[in-house]
Amino acid sequence: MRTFIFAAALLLAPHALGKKAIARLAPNEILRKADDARAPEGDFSFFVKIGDYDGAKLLRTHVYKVFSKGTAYALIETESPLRLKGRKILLRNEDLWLYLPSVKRPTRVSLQQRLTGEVANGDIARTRFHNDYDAKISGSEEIGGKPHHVLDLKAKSDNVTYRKVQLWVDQKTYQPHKALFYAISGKLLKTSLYSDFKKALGENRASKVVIQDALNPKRQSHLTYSKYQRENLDDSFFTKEALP
Amino acid sequence: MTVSSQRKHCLSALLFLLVASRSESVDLSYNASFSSRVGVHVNGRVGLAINRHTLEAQQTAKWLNSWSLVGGARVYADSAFAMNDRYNAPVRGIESQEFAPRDLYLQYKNRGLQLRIGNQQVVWGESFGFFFADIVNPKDTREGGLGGDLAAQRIMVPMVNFSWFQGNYALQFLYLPKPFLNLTPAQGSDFAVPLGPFFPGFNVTLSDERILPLALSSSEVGIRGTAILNGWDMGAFFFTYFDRRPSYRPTFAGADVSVRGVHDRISSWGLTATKDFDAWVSRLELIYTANRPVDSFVFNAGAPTQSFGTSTSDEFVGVLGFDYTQWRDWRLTLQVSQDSYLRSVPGSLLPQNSTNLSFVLGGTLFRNHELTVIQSYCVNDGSALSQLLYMMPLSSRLEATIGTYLFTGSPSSSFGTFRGANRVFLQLKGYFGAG
Repeated sequence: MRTFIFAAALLLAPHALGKKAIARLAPNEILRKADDARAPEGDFSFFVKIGDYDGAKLLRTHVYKVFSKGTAYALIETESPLRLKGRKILLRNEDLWLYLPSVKRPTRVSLQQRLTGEVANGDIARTRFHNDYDAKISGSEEIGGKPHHVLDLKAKSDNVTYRKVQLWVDQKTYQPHKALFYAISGKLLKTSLYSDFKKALGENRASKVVIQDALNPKRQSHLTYSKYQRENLDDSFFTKEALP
Repeated sequence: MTVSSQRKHCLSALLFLLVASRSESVDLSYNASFSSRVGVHVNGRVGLAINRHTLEAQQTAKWLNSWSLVGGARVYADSAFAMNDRYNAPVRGIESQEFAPRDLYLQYKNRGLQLRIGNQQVVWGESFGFFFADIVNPKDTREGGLGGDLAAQRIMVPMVNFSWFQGNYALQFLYLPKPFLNLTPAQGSDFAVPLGPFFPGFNVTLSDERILPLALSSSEVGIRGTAILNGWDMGAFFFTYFDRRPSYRPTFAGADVSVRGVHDRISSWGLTATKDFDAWVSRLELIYTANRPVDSFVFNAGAPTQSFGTSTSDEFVGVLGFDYTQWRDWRLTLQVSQDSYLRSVPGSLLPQNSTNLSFVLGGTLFRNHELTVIQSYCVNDGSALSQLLYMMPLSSRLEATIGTYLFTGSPSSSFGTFRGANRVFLQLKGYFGAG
């Protein structure tokens, strides 16, 4: 009997330890891991193709090249359509500027203003939640037979794109599955679905994100991420004086 | 800039680009656009208001991550003036065709240092639609500021532009060895303020200075500092330069008067600020210019040649604007500006205080069509300028725009003066590029 109990304990131990390990991770650590499955840390660049849909109808397609340095700096360059090439969006901390070749000067804009379709400037410029939000586990839910943490994210400052975010994170892989984005009034603004996790800069990361309008779910933007590259970007690359 | 000096500039740039392109480490890119704009007058005037075909191209060569050379030029031909008898020879001469170098500079950039030498544009303002703090580059005012994008209306001029930026702070020094001045419409153009009424009974001819000689005494110097503090993006500048806008000096000879547009040295101090207030983004500009020349007209029956004169007054301009950011498919900008001359000039051709209200409402409609409505209203005299632009993308490279400019108000009012220029137009614009 003792042998059986010992053997059972040995067999169950990894699960018990695993569960304990999962439970031990602080909500902000879970969020950091979920961020890793969305975008890398450090200096990097990537391309994102955004298709805006109304139901099944493709309204427009844009391609952007994004340079990112840490969580504070990002530069979004429009690659196509050609008639919009040269447009740039610069993010420095919580401040954002739009550079239009037709005006030839950086113009102050808001993180919450739309880039295209359902995508706000901040959706692309801010690649990680961890620095902008405090996380709290509000529950767990099974999606497709896999247990997920439900994280409630509360904005640390007023100058982020969304005041509150709910994020579903796979308890085993820490990959994000779904996010709900809320306004200050508590109104649901949009949802995001993360999928097609592919190896990029050493980690599996979501290469496809579908952002859906909460009021009219037919309105969707499909974001496809590709060509991640490590970069060595000086801070001065992200100054509005260097934009033109 | 003379045609020969323009050609010299372009040839030098092309040679430089050719040499640069032979190096293996050079990253080359180009972009170009071709546009055709055809417009007709409304408000009674017959014939074409514009029939302009413009080609603009720019080539950029970058090497060693620090150096780049940018060369660009614009050329246009416009047949509307030759086809319409109402335009005189000076108008046809200045409006019918043009070749102009655009950006044409060598740049060195390394971390927080940037040095740019050559033809370029520098923009200091934050407001839209008007060039209040945007005082460095002269402007092409031949189409009353409506000829195209703001960037297209700036005349690129040679300068040394040195910038140092560190974190949230930046400092910029400008040195312009030779002053270049606004390109103004010829008398008889839709956008010219007629000088005839100020010289009753005289035959008026007008000549305007475009450049001043290359000399140390005529060089221009500017400095600007910017800082981002607690979300406030602030700038302060000083610029000593020759007034880009002319003041007029008449010379009488019998029944003829020769009016010369001259440009005096002035100095401007300015402050700019922007802040994102979540639902609104605000913009502020304050500009003070000491001793700005102001033309005046007080009819002197005994000595008519003494009626027209020029005095000076300190000028203060304040601009406050807000962008509303909360609409899904629409954007709204509101702007109020006040232009005041602090000393009264009797008979001044410019109002001592002028208040302007403007708004821009723009949005995306079905099939990515974009509608933009711009309304500017002069509070002092009730005149207004209404602009409506409807842009239809035809492909990723091609777009069509239908637009109209409508000036309303009395013939002597700020905007009403240009009622004869009212027009509707159609424009096709194609974009090309590589690299």
